[in-house]
Amino acid sequence: MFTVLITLASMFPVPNPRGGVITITATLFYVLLCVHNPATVLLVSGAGFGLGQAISRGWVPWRTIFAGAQLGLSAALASSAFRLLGGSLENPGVLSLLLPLTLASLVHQASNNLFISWYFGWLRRMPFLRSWIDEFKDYLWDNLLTVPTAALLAVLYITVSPLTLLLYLVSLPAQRWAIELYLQHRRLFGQAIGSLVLAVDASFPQGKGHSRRVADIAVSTARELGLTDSVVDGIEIAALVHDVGMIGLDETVESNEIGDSSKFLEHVRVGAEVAREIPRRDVGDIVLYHHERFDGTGYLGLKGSQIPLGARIVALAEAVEPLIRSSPPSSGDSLDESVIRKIRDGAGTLFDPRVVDAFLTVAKDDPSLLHSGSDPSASMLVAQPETRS
Amino acid sequence: MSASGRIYAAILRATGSFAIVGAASLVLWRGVTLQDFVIVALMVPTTWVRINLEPKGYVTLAPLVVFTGFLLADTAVALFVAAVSPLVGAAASGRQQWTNSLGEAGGEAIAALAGIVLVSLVGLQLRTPGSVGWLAPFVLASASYICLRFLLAAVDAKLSEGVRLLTYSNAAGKSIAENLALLALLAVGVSYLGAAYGQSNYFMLAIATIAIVEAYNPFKQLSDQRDVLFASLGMVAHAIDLKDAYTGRHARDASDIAVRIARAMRLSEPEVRKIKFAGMLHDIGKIGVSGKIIRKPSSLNVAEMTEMRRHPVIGAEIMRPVELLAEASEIVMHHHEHFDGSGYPDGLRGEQIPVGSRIVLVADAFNAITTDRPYQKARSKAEALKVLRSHAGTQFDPQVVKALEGVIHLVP
Repeated sequence: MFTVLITLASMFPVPNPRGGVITITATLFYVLLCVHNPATVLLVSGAGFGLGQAISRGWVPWRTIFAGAQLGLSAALASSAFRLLGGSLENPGVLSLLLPLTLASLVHQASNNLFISWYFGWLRRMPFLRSWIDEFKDYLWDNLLTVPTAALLAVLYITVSPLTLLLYLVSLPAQRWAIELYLQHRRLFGQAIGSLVLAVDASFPQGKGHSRRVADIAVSTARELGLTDSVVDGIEIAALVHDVGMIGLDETVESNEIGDSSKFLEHVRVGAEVAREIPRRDVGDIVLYHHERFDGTGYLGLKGSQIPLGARIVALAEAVEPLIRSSPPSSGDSLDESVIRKIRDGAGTLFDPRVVDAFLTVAKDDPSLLHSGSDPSASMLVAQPETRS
Repeated sequence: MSASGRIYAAILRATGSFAIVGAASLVLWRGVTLQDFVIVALMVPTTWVRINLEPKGYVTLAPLVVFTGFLLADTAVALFVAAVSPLVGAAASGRQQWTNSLGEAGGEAIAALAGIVLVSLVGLQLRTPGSVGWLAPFVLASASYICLRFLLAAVDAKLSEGVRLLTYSNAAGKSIAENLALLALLAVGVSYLGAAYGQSNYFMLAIATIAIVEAYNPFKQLSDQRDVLFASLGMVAHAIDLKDAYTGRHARDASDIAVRIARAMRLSEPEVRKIKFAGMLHDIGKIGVSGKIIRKPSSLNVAEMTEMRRHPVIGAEIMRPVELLAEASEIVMHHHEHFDGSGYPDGLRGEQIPVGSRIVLVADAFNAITTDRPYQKARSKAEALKVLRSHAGTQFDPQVVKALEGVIHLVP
């Protein structure tokens, strides 16, 4: 029965809200490894997954066999780990079930990711260690979240009936529907923000694409600083709409009059008020404080860590974007020396030194950021799920 | 909001506060067992999953714990969980509208209390599943809980948004009833598990609850993203108002009025939603018109007028490529058509004009008259209505103006 279920499950991948694709096969593997011995697990999960792959993506011998073999091995390893750690369903508890299963799931994920990164590394002749660690980190949280459900299903399988698994499968199309709708809403949200950004750029002298590029720079810098997805999301939205208060400025106002601080401040305030329509506090705060200076000589006089980190990032991105745009095209894939000097000079007075370092690292590692039509895949709002084996 | 709406909300809030204090002291007086503690603790993750419904209302997973409480714990514990869950949910998700949460607490408490009282009136007693005669009281209690939650949500939607009972039953009301019924079923399963492993084995109870929370998670994310999406439209609307001489609430208020009128005219909910978006974004085309013209206090010359009159067309063009707004773009396109055919851009007349456009035109005008603008002080609602009435049949659709009269006490 497991073979059939896993075959079915691996045929219907569910898009992951955080990019990529998840299948619920992981949950099934974990149930399987609780109730059967490693050898059975190897055969059943390997055959099931290979079959599912073959049916849904076509029969390509090496790929099907590789997919089946690597998953079978991962699951068998995890199953051995579960047994070694004393996992059992006799008297389920934290020590007898939850802990062993959690560790087993980690073993499964680690070996699964290892096989895949090793294989692709070999295919592309690239070192695989780093991509292995990255993959492991990326999928860690999703993986751990499946553990409680798997534990429950395993107990139900033993104590009530194996048929309870079918009941669980019935709920999946609904979940899948919700996730797809979620992704659609996310895309719509991106479009709605996009039209606002167009309007903002149109009525502001910095011109077309400014907000989008500031957002790209801010997002990359925030990622480099190791912020979580949800925080990066907030920074992206705020960076996109940071100039929204400028919509009210008349076109007749010359840029030197914009320097008039009280009037300018008014527009920053108005912009923050508009941004507060989004039910996330961080967005409004970033818009309000993105003109603060690190040493406290800005409009509102906030200093250092009093300024929200997101606002410090957007402040740097906002200052850097025109510099990059106006730097000579001959400088190609690296930042112009004079630009780097200007940014470095600002560290500690205008900008947070930590943010400056992060930005310069990104600029070195990812030169695409420096081109005006920068890489849209850096944006979470337009990211499309990519398929992955 | 109408007076009856305010009174209703106040009653709910008072009930909520009273129920929390009452149930808490009852539980404390009787003595807290480990099991009570576990059940209250399980409530925390379930309140985190909150799904907001259109047009009004919500579902959380907290009833799962309430129903489990009916079966496994003392009724006072169940009542406490029900009443306190909206507040815990608000704290867990960082929403800080405590008055709203207190009102929701009142609704939950009334629903739970109804179940408990009904069961004891009939002379039954809630018991652990599997023991003799456990089913009837549980069905009675959970059914009356579901009925009351449904009713209270419908009344709330009626009073605060003007949604009719039948419309509500087909939309949010249905989701509330279905989800709560499903949660009642799941609660039976969870309680069976908890009971089967002996009173001391709370591990299964916790695992089962967390697995259910996990399964509902995609729906929560969907609901959150929908809220952000709608909020972003509010943000766009707010930004448009900056361009104009309004104080920043015109677009939203006009949209609220338009929705009221649309509901009074008994349009379908999808149509109402379209009108809501169109009302918010009706002036989005002004983004492309020079601010000097928009704010000019004196009358415009011919060239300026031509420029100004392009804004419905520009607006429709901006909205059309955005999937969510494509339907509403038609309404925006024609929101300056007059009933007698003297409007722009196409000079449509009467029924040729989309009903949404006719409504938005009236709502826009009404809100413009009743708010302060640079060249005109705000006038009272009665005066505004008089102006609208005098132009009914020429500029405005008489039916729409009449519908506005019917809901005038409800609009801001």
